[in-house]
Amino acid sequence: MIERAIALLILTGLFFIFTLLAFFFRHLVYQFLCILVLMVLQGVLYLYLNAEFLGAIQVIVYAGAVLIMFLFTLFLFPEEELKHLKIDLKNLKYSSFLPVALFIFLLLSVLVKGIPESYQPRNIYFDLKEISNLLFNEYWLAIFLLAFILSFPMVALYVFFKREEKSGSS
Amino acid sequence: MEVLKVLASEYPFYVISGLLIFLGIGIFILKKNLLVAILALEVVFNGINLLFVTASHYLGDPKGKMIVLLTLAVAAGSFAIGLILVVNYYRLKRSLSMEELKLLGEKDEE
Repeated sequence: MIERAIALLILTGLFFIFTLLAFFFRHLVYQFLCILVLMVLQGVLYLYLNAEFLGAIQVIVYAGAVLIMFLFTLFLFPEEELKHLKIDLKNLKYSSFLPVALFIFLLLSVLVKGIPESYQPRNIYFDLKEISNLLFNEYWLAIFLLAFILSFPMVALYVFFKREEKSGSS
Repeated sequence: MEVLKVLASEYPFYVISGLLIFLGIGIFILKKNLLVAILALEVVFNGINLLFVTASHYLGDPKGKMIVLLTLAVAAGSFAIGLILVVNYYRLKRSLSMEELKLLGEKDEE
């Protein structure tokens, strides 16, 4: 238990540090790198929740594919658009009302009710066999719909670049 | 020992997921940039995913992890479409500011 507590304390500290850095950096690439570290750390956290497959998916899909695609897209833009991103405090008092109210409500509810006793985790082992059972027996319709939805980005890319070719040739 | 018990329980996971959700919302509201907005939405998605996995682990139901697996794929697709839209918007307007985002509200000048 002590090892788990110390590891989670270190991970929570790292999350706090990189969250603050991601918030206060003014260059978008530095901000992006902090968020990349946060995603990898989240993959490590999944290991502490017995979700090894999800941890691997988090690192491969998020950190490895989605965010790197975002990085390459960032390099398409001129650098003047990416640096000097100021925090716009003009609309802070109006637009930040909802998250601040939510945070105060949660804090008050915890303070009033007190911290409940911790749940004991049950011994479930989330392995590939169990995933494939759930995916292809209970969730086959969801998987089919997902395959359909994921074809949209490819179609959208094709349509946009086809239009670009037409405007370029005319 | 009580502190160690709390640290080894599910509370750090809830704190971290709340941190990610509030980071995403804060960046989305305070930095008026379209690229940052897309990145912030992904961070919020990840915070909610962590919440799902934590609840699934401590309640002993693997369906929460299944939901995360499905939402991961949808989030990746929506991220790609959002990036395409931002790149094309930048081609048209030469700006990434969210305050000038009134493409559909503009009247045709012709």
